[in-house]
Amino acid sequence: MKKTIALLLAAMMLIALVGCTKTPNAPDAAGTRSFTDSVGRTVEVPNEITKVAISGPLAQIVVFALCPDRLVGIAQKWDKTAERFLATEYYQLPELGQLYGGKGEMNLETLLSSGAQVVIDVGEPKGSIREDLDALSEQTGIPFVHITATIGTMGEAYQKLGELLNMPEEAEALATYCDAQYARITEIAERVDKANLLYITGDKGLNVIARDSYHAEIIDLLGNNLAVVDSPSSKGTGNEVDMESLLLWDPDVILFAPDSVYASVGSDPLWSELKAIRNGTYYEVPMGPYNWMGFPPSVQRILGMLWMAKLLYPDAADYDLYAEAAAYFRLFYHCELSEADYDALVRNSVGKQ
Amino acid sequence: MTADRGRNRRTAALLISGGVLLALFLVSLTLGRYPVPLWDVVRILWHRFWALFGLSTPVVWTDAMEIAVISVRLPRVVMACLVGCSLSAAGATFQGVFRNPMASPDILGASSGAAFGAALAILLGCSARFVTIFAFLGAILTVALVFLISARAPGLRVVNLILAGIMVGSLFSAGTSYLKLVADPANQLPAITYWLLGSLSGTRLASILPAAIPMALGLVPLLLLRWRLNLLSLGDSEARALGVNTDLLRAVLILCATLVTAASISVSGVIGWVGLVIPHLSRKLVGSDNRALLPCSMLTGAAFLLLVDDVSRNLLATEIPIGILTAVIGAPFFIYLLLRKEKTL
Repeated sequence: MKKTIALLLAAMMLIALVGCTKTPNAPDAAGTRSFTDSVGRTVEVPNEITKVAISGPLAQIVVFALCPDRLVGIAQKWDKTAERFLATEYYQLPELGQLYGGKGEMNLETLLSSGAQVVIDVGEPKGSIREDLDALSEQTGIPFVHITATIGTMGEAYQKLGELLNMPEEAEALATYCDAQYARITEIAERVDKANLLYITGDKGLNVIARDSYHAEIIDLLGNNLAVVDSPSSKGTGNEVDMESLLLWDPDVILFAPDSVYASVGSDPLWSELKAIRNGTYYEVPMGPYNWMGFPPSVQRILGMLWMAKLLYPDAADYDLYAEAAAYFRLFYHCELSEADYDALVRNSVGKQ
Repeated sequence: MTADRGRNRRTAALLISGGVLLALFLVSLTLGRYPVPLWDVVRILWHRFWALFGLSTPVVWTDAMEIAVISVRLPRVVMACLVGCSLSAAGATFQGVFRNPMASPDILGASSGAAFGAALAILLGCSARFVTIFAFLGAILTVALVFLISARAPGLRVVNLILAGIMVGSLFSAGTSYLKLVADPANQLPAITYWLLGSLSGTRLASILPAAIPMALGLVPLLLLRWRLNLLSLGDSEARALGVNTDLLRAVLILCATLVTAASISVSGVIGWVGLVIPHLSRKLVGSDNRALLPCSMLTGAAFLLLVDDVSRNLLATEIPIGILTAVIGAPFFIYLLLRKEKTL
């Protein structure tokens, strides 16, 4: 009797095993390879990855440039300024939600049903990144990878992505572009006399991005950021200051964030006390499809660097900004930037001509 | 005769809420954004059940289906029940202890403390597990502080507790606001904000046991002491006249209720309304005798939160934070209960 039961059980297990291996709609599941991500985690990924999901808006901009057709969805709806630039099928990619650490609005079952073969996280690694991504990989059975990227290491990030997605040539093109532009701008920054400037945000224009803060990377690189405060805030809205500090700093150039007070300061008597406003050397950061200076601090900051260098040091920056912007849009947004669109984008950003 | 009818009614209410909870539990396992046919859900569960005893049944579904049901859906469904049950039990206990219908699990500042702890952990770059631990400790320490302050203050014990709870709670809220101010907006600030809204997303099988243990440690004594909770609601002098050490009893009840509240909030984030509304709903069902009220609150609380979480993960392609939904559903429901003509039991 016992033997019969044992035999029956063995038979059932065999059937179970056979059932397991004969999973119908996963022909490429057998071909996997190991991939080591930027924080040293080794995960098994399919040989050919054709369906990619991302974890947040920063990754969205970076990965979209490389493989827009492989994205099964986006983390966050594109900014509405992107509608006129992106192809409709890209603009309308379904929203999967983003992850914040281990939790988030990303619905794990939506992710599973999207068929994503890998989820890519891009940015600066947080302390808990390994544990968080391991937990998510284990729970969903989909490998989560982290690719570290800062503005100076975009090239490496693209090479890593190229290795992951098995598209070395396309990735190398983007990597070369990022490295070349970064080198070009840092070279300009080294040989010019840096302009005294402030980057002002906020709906009252009373927030500055302080020197040495997280979002000031490009501003500090290309200008003499006068906003030196005791505790630089890492927030996108920067440090709150009062008008007196602005008058004290009295910069030669002021850059306003897109949703700040650029439009109204010209006619404001108080603001006109500032040298930059009186002289008309104040500008608005171009906005489209994202703020060129960051927010999210992704690869589009290269555009911001090109713009800022050209604006502040036209003699040193011997390139045509329209040509550079058009090249960027072609590479990273897969669209043609017409001259009319470009003019609209930089209407308030290149001075009154 | 009337006593008998009351008892029958209470038993029936408990049985019905238990049945509803069981049915909801099974239905919830079949609901999700990943399509798994009902029959396959049953077979997967059947397979997993026998696997516990080392037996195997044939596998005819895909791996992704099993992942969706077992590691994504099941942990969440179980956690929703646990959290709903705990918050409602804590709410009912606090309402009894303070003899105040507006008491809720966070009356002694537990949520504010937990929120502060979680925000601090996120700011320090801790992983999800440590965020939970920080939140738990934050809640416990806050209530301990409230307790110490009220013990030193002269005057009415209950009033002191509530006042100290409000004060310490607002102190920690201010602390949380400050942490939000200095947090990095690129990923820390949304993480904190998201945590404060409350969500069961990302619940894993491994996170259930660590939450269930403190919950059980609090819930079992609460169930055993539920008759004595009735005595407390008579008022201190009457209860003392019956030979009850009111201060000790109150302290034990508050400790247990705090333990379950802290354990719930630390895994789910701040979920309001459940602990306030469910005991009121249960009072309509079984009356205010805590012997029936507490179990009934636990069952209906679990069912309610399970239902709300089903909405939160199924309504849209992305998650809706459950704290938003409990408020949207809870507030109008509470108003309805208030307006409905009181039926005598």
